[in-house]
Amino acid sequence: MSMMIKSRTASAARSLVTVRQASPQHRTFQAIGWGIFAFAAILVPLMMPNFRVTQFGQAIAFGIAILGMNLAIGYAGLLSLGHIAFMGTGAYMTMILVNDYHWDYWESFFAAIVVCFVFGLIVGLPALRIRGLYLALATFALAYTFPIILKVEQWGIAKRTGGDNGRTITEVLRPPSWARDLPTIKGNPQEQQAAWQYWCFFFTACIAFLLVRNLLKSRPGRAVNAVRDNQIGAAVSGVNLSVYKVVIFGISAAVTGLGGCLLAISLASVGPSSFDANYAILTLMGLVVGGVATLHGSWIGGLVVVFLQDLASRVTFTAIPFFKIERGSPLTRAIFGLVLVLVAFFAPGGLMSLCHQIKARLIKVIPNPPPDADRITPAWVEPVEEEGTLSGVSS
Amino acid sequence: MQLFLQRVFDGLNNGAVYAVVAIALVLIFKATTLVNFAQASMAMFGTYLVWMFVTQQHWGIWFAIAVAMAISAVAGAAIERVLIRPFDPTDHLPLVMITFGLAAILEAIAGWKWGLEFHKFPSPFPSAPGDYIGIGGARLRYETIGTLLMMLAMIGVVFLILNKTKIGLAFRAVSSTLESSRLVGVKVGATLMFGWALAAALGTLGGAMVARQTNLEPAFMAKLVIFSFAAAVLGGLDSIGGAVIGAFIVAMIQSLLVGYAQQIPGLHWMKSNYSLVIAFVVILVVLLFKPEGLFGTKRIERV
Amino acid sequence: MSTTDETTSGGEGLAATATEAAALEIRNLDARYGQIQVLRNLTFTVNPGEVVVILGANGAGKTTTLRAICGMVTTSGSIILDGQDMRGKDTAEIVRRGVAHVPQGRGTFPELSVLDNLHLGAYVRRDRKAIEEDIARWFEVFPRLAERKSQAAGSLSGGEQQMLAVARAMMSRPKVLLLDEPSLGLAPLIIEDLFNRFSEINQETNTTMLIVEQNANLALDLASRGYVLESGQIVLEGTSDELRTNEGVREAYLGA
Repeated sequence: MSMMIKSRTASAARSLVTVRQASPQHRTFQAIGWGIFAFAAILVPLMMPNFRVTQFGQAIAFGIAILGMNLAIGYAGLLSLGHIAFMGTGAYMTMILVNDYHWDYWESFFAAIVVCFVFGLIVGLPALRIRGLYLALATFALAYTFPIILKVEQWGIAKRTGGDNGRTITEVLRPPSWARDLPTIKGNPQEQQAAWQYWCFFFTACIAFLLVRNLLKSRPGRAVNAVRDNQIGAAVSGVNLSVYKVVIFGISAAVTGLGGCLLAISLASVGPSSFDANYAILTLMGLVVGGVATLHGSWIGGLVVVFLQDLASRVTFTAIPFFKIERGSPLTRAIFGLVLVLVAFFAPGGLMSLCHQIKARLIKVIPNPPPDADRITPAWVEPVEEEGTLSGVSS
Repeated sequence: MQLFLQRVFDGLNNGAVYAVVAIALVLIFKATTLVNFAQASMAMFGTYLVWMFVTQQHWGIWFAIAVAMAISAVAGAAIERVLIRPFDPTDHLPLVMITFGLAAILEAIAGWKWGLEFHKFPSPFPSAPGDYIGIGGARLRYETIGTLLMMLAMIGVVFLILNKTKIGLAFRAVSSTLESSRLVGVKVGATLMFGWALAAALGTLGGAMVARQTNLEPAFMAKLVIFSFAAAVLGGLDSIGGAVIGAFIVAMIQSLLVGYAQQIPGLHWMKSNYSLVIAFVVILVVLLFKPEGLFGTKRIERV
Repeated sequence: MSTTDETTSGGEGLAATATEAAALEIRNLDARYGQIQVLRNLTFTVNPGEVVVILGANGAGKTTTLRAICGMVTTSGSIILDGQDMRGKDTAEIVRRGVAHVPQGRGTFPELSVLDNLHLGAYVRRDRKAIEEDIARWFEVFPRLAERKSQAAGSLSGGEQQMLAVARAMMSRPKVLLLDEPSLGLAPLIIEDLFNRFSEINQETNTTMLIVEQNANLALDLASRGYVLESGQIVLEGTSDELRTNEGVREAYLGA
C-alpha cells in the first residue's frame, strides 16, 4: 500500500468544467491562475509591514532551496537529507566573496552556483552506488558534519567563516535609484530595501523555476523521472542514466545553493546554526508538506518553513490544562514533529497534491492521446481508463 | 603506558554503551530495512523514566531500569503498530518523516515535562571516586566493568532469544525473506512489533548505562546515537555481532585517536567534537566502499 | 468423468466422484495486478488425495493462480479449502488452514540453516515431539539434506534447494501442497528424481497436490488430472491420459 501512489492518481469524480489540453479554454484557465498568483505576489510588498515582507523574502529563499531538494529527492529519487549543506555553502560563499573580496552580489551568485554544482557532483557520484536509506544515512551524516567543519580552526577556516557566531554581511542590498520610483517600492528607505529585496528574490525564483521546469521536460529530465521508482528499468537503461542522475544532482545542489545565497542576503549574516541538522529536518518537512515531486510545492514548502517557525514561536495553547503550551515552550518543537507525522499519514503528496485534487474537481483536462507508435500496452490487456498526468511536470 | 591503558579502558566503556544501542538499531534494520531515526529519542525518554522513578518514587535503580524497559517495550510495539505498519516499507520518504517526527515529538515532551536543564543521573554501578581497580597506573572503574558485563549479558539474552525461541526464529525469517515468512504462516506484524519492543527496551538500557557520564538532558542521546550508527554501519547494518565489534572499534578509534591527537603538537586542534566527525567519516567511507560493512550480508537489490 | 475438448472459458469443474468435499475448489476466480486482469473466471477442483496439474506457457497465469490461492493477489470469486471460504484471509491465515506453497524460486530462507528452514516449515504446528520426528523422517527421505543440516540454505545446489523447499512445505502436514514449476532450472536427472519423490509423498501421505508446470511430460505422468491455462483462462481439462493424447496439448507442451 504505497500511499504516495494513491494520492497521485487523479480523482475520477465529476468535475465542473472539462477542457482539452492546450486548447484556448485551457490556456485561459491557466492564465487566470497565473494572474491570481501574480496579483497576490504584488500585494505582499504593498500591503504587508516590513518584517513580513522580509519573511516572504526568506520564504522565497527557502522555496528555491527546497526546489533544489525536490529535484534530487522527488524527481531523481535520491534521498538526500544533506542538501542543507549545499544551502550553507551558497550562503557562506556569498558572504565571503562580498565581505572579503568585494564582489557584487550577482557575481557571487554565479560563483556560488558553480561551486555548489561541483560539490553536488562530488556528492552525487557515490550516491549512485548507495540507495534508499543508506543514502539517507550518509547524507544526513553530511548535514551533521557541515556545521562542525565550519568551526574548524585549523587552516584559518574558522576565521573565514566566523566560527560559531558566523559573520555579518557588510554590504546591503540597496535598491538602485531607478527602482526607487517604482510603484511597489515606495516608502522609507527600510521599506524600499525590503521591497527591493523581495522583488529581486521573486524574479530570481521565477528564473530558477523556469530553468528547472525546462530541465525536467528535457530528455535527461524525463528519463530520470521515468525510472525513478523502477530500479530494474534504471539498471537496463545503461550508463547514460547514471550520468543524467549525477548531473541532475549537481544541478539540484546548485539550485539549493542559490537559495542559500538569497537567505544570506535576507538575514544579512550567516552562521552555522542556520544550516545544521535542525534546519535539514525543517527543510525536509517543508519539502514534504509542500509536496514531493511537485514544482510548485517548493514555494509552499518555503512558506511553511518560515511561517510555521513563526507560528510555533508565538502559539499559546491553554485550552487543555495538561497540554498548556506557552510561548517558547519546548513543546513547540512537538509541532514540527506532529506536522511531519500528520502529513505522512494524511497527505503524503503534500499540500500540492491536495491542491491538484481540488483542481481536478473543478477542471478536468483531457490529455491529448499519444500517437499510436508510442503505445506499449499489448492488445490482450483490458483497456485502461486514462488517468491524469503525473503532477509536477505539467502544471 | 598509563595513558594508553586509560584510553583503552575509556574505549571499552564507551564501546559497551554504543554496542547496546547499536544492537537496537540493527534489530530494527534487520527486520524492516528501516533506519530508526527516532531511536535516540526513544532511549532518551526511557532513561528519563528511570530517572523519574528513582528521584520521585525512590525506587532502587535496577528496579527502575527494569520497569522502564518494560514500558519502553510496550511503547516500541505500539509505535510499530500505529506509526510504522500503515506504510509501504519500500517507500522510504514517509518512513523517514515519521521517525524524524516522532523524535521531535518525544524530545519536545521530555523537555516540557522534565525541563531543559541538565540533571544528574544516579549510577547503576558503584561510582564513587574510589571505585576502581588500578592497573598499571590507569583506573579501570567499576562502572566500566559493570557496563561491560551488562552488555555481554544483553548480547547473550538477544542471542538466546533469536536463536532458541520460536519468535526469534520468526524474526530471523522475516529478516531473511518476508514473503517466504508469510508462506510458512509467520505473523509478520506481531513479529515486527516484537522486534521494535526489543529494540526500544535495549535503547532504554543503553541510555541508563551512559546517562551517569553525560548528564541527563533531552538531547543527550542524540550525540551518542551517531556513534552507534557508525558502529552499526561499520559492523554491517544487519549483523548483531558486527554491531558489537563495530562499536568497540569506533570507541577505540575515538578514544585513542582523539586522546593522542591532543598530545601531538600539529593536531592539537582536534577538539572532542571531532570524534563526531570521525564517526561520520566512518559512516561515509563504509557506505561508499563497502555498504554491507564488515559482517553484513551483501544485499543484491531486492526485486 | 466428463471431458470438454472445446475451448471454453471456465465451465463446470469435474464433479467429485467421492462424497467428501473437494480439497480445493476454485469458482469464478478473477485476479488482477492493479488494472491488469490476469485470471478470468477460473473454475476448477482438486479432490482429496489427487495430484492435479495446471499446464500453460509463460504468462498464462499459472503462478498467479497459486498466488491467488494463497491470498497474495487481489481476487474476486471463491476459493474454498476443505469446505471453508478463504476469501479475504491473509496469507499466513490460509497457510495455517492447511495450504503449503512452494513458489518459484523455492521460497527457502537462504541465510538460515537447513534445520532452521525445516523448523520454519513447521511454524504453524505446536507438537514439538512430532515435529522432530518429521524432521528425522525427511532427513531419511532426502539424505543430502541431512548431510548439510547446519549449512545455510543458500549454499545448497539447485536440486537440494528444491528438495529442501518441498520438505519445508511438507513439514506443516498440509492438506494441499502447491508446487510452482518445481522443475525450473534443474537438470533432467534431478527432475526425474524429484517427481518420483512427489509420487511417493502423495502415495504415502495422501497429500493433495496442485502442480503448475511447463514441463508437461513428467507432470502428466504424476498427475491424474489436469487443466490447460491460456491467457488467464482454462481452455482444456481432462484426465492426464486424455490430455496426453490431445492434439493441441501435444503440439504446444509435449513437443510432439
